Amino acid sequence: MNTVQSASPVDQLSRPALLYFLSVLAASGLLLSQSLPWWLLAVSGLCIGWRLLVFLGRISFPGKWLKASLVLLCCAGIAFDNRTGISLDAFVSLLLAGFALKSLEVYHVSDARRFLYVAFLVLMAYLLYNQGFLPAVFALVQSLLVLAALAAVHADARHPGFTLLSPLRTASIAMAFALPVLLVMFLVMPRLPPLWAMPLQKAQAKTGMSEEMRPGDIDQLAKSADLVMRVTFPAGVPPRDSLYWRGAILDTFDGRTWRNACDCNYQWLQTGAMKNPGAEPWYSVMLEPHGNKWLFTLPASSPHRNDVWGNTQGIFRYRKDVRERMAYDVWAVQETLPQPLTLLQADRNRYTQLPEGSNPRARALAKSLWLAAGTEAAMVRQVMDFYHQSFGYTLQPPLLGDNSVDDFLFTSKQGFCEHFAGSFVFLLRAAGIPARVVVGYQGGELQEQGNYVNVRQYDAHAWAEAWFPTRGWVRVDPTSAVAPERIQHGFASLFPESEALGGMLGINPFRPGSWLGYWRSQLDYLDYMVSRFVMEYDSRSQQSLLRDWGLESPWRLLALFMGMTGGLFAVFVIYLQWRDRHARREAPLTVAYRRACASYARCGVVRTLDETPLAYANRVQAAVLPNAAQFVELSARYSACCYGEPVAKPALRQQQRELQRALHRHAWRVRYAG
Amino acid sequence: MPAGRSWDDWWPRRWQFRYQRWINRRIPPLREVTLGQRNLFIFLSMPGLGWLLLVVLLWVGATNYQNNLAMALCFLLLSVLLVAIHLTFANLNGLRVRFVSAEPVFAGEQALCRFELVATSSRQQLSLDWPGSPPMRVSLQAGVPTYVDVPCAAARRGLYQPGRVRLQSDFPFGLVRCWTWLDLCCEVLVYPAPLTTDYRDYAQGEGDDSGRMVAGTDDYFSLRSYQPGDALSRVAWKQFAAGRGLFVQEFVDYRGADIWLDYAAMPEADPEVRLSRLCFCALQLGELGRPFGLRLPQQRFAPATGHEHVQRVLQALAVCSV
Repeated sequence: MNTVQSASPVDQLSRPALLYFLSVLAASGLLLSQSLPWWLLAVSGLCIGWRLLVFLGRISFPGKWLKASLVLLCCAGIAFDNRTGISLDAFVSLLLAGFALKSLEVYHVSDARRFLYVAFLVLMAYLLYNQGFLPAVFALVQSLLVLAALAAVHADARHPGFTLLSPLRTASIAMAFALPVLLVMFLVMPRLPPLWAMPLQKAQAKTGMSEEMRPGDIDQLAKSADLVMRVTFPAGVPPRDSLYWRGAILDTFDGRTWRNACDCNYQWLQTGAMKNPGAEPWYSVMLEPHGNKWLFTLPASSPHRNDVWGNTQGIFRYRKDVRERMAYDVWAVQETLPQPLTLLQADRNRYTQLPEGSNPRARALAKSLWLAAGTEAAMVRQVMDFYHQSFGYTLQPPLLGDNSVDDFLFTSKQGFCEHFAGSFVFLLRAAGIPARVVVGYQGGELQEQGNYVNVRQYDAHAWAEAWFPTRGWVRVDPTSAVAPERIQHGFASLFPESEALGGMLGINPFRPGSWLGYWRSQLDYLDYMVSRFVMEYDSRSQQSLLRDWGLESPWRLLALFMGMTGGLFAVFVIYLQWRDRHARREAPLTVAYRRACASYARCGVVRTLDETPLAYANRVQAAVLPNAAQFVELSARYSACCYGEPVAKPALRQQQRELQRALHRHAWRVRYAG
Repeated sequence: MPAGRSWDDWWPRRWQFRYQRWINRRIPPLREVTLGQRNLFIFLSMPGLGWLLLVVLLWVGATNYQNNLAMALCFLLLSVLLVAIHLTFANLNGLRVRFVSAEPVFAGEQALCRFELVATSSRQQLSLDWPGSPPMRVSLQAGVPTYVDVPCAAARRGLYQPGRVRLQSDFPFGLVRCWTWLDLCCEVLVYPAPLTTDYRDYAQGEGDDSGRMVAGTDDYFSLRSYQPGDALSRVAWKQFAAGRGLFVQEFVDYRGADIWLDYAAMPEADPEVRLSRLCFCALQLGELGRPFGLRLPQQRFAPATGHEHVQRVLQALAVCSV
C-alpha cells in the first residue's frame, strides 16, 4: 500500500532535468563548434560551467547587471561578425547565444521546454552545415538526448522508480517507435520546391581550387585530405591515369600568375538544352560544397541538366555557387572535332599571349627547340624530354624571382605540377603553339566497394593542353615526365611519409591498408550510401520509387494511405472487440430472463435494480399478474442456475438452454397470450 | 490557486445541460471505473501545439534549403508526436480508479477525497483534481494500490458531492494530454462552520434542579468569606488588597447537569448562523466532556457524552434542513 498525501504541484526544474538540460546545451555547442565563432563557444562554456557550479551549490546565480551585460556583449559580437549582411550564421549564433544565456536563469519547467524546442532548431542548423552519414548519426543521438531532456523535465523526480537513466529509457522507447514512422514519412511525404529564398551561410574558408594559379597555390592544397567529390562509375572505374577532372581553363599569364581571363570569352549553353545523350550516364558525381560554380568532369563527357551551363571547351558551371553537397550525372559524349579544324584568330591570339619581355631565357630555349622540332608533336616531345632529364618533383619548391619561368627552368629545377604546367605552356606559347593550363584534380582513391572513386584536395593538379592542327586540343601532362608515379598511383604513394603533409598521410593510422584504414573505408562507404540514397532523395526519386510500387498518381497514393489507415484502424477495433468479447456480450440466459421481466414491466410491475429474481417474482405474484406462479418457478430455477451450487459443465449447459427456452416462451405468453 | 472563471460561465446553459447529459451517458456514475477508450479523451496540449509549430518551422526550413536530413528531423518530430499519443493513452488505459472515503470537514475547509488507483503496469505522472483546486500528482508502481487524497473546497454544510473529478496525464513529453472526467459517487459530509460563542448563552437547564453543583475545581462560581482551614491559594487577594476583607474563591463542578442545546430557543435569525453556533457549542461541550442534548426542528438527541455522540450531533447539524 502506498499513500500519497502531499504531492503538491511544483513547476520547478528538478536536478536530473537540469543535468539533462545542460548536457543538451553542451552537445549543441559541440555540434556547431565548427561553424560558430570561438568567443560564442567560450560564452556557452562559461554559462554551462556557471550553472553547474550553481547546481553544486558553490556559487549563486549571476546578478541582473552581469546577465544584461553578457546579453549585450553577445549581441554586439554577433552583429560585428555579421556586419556584411544577414546570413544563416547570424541566425545560428543568435540561437545558440540565447540558448546558452538562458541556461543561467532557467528555473521553470515551461522555460526549459521552450528552450529544448530551440535545441531542435539548433540541430536543424547543424544539418544545414553538415550532411552525410556521421552528421546523421550525431543528429539522431542529439535528438534522443533532447527528447530525454524533455522527458526528464516532465518526469516526477521524487517517484521512487525514477533514476537518472529513466528519461533516456522513455525517449529511447518513443524513438524506437518513431523511427519506422519516420521512414515511411520520408519515403512517401510529398516534397515541394523551395517556398522562398533563404539567406545562405557565408562561404567557409576552405582549401579548394581557385580561379588563379600562382606558384605555391596547389602545394597548399596538397596538405589537405578533405574530400572534393565522390564519383561512381556504374560500368567500372577507368584506369586512374586517365582520370583528369577538368575544372577550369587558365588562358592568361601576366609573368607570375595564370588566370582565367574572362568566362565571357566562351560560348555557354544550357547543358539540359543540348542533345539528349540518352542511355545511362557514364558516371555520377557527388560534389562537396566548395563555394564556387565549378563542376569537375572528365574529358568528352557532359552533365545534362538545366541548371548547368557548359562551354565548347568542355568546362561546366553550376547556376549558382555550390554551397551544399550536390549530385550530378554525367554522360559520355562523342567529341566531334569542328570541321574544318581551325582556331579562330582571336582564340589563337589568346592562347599564344605572353607578357612582353619577360623570361628571355625561356623564350630563347623555346625558339631553339621549335627550330629543332619543326612539328607540334615533336616540340612537345622535346620539352617533355627536357623535363625528364634534370627536373625533380617536390612539395617544397624554392622561391622564384621575377622571371619565375626562367628561374624554374634554369636555376631551381624543382617544382610541383603547377610549375611544370605553367612553364610548359609558356615554352609552347613562346614557340607559337597555342596552349593553355587546365586545373582540376587528377586520379582519386579507388574504393573497392561500390565502384567509386574518392577525390581529395591533395589530388589537385594542373596540366596543359596544346593545339595540334590535326587533332585539335591535346592533353599533355608535363608532371608525368618527371614523376609518373604521381599520375599512375596517386599523390599519396609519391609522398608516403612527407613532412609537408603534417604527418597526415604518413604516420596517419588511417592510411590505406591498416585496420583503422579498413574501418575508415567502411565508414566512407556508409557515408557514400547515405549520401546517395538520403541526401539525394528528391521528388523525382520519390516518384520513381512510388512508380515501382505501382502508385503513379497521387490519387492512388492517397487511396493507399486511406486504405492503410482505415485497415489499421479496422484491425485495431476488431482486436478490441475480440479482447473484450466476454465483457460485452451478456449471457443468453440473462437476456431471456430480462425479456421475461420486461414483459411483466409492461403490466406495471417494474423490477428494481436491487431486487433479486425471487423477490421480484413474489411481487409479480402479489400483483396477480398472468402466469405468475409459473414465473415464480422459473425465477427460482434461474436463481439456482446463476447463483446456486456449482454443477458439472455439460449438465449446466443443458439446464441453461432449457431454462432459456422456457423463459422466452414465458415472455411471449405473458405478452401476447396472457 | 485562484479558480478564475471556469468554462461554465461562458457556455450557454443549454449547452452545459447537453454536455452533462452526454457525459453522463458516456461515463455513467460508478463506484469503480476502469479507464479505456470509452472514457478517455485525448488531444494535443499547449506545448504539443507549440511542437506542431516547431515541426512546421523545420519543414519550411528543410524545404527552402532542400535539405533532406533536416526534412528527416522534421518527420522525426512529427513521428514522436504520433507515438506520444499512443504512449500517453497507454499510460492511462486499463487504470482502475475507486473512491474510498472522505473525512468530514467543516464548511469553508478543504475536503480531502481519498481515491484508490491500481494498474497492472507502472504509470507515471497522473494528476487528479477538481477544477479550481490544486492538482495532486502521483505515479504508480505495477500492481500496488496507491491512495491519493485530492483536495476540494467544501463551501457549504451538507452532504457535499464534488461532482466529476478530472484524472489526467501528459506523460511522457507533455505534448499530448489524456484526460477523463470520472463521477465516482464521491460524498463528503460537511459540518457547519463553527462560529465562536459560549455555550452558556444557549444552554438550558443550568439552573434546573436536575443539574447539581458540587464543590470542585473546574469552574469559578462565587466568593464567600474566609474560614480558617481554607487553602491560601484560593484566597481572593485582589479583594483583600482593596480592603474589602478576606474572601475565598469558590469553584464548582457540574455533575450530571444535562445541558440542552435548543435550536428553537436561539436568538439569531439566520438558521445557518444558529447551526454554526450550535456546532461550536457541541464541539466545546464535547471537549469539556460534559453531557449535552440537542433539539433540532425534526430531531432530538438525548444528553450524552463521548466522541460518537458529538459526531452524531455534528452529522445531524450538517444535514439538517431548516
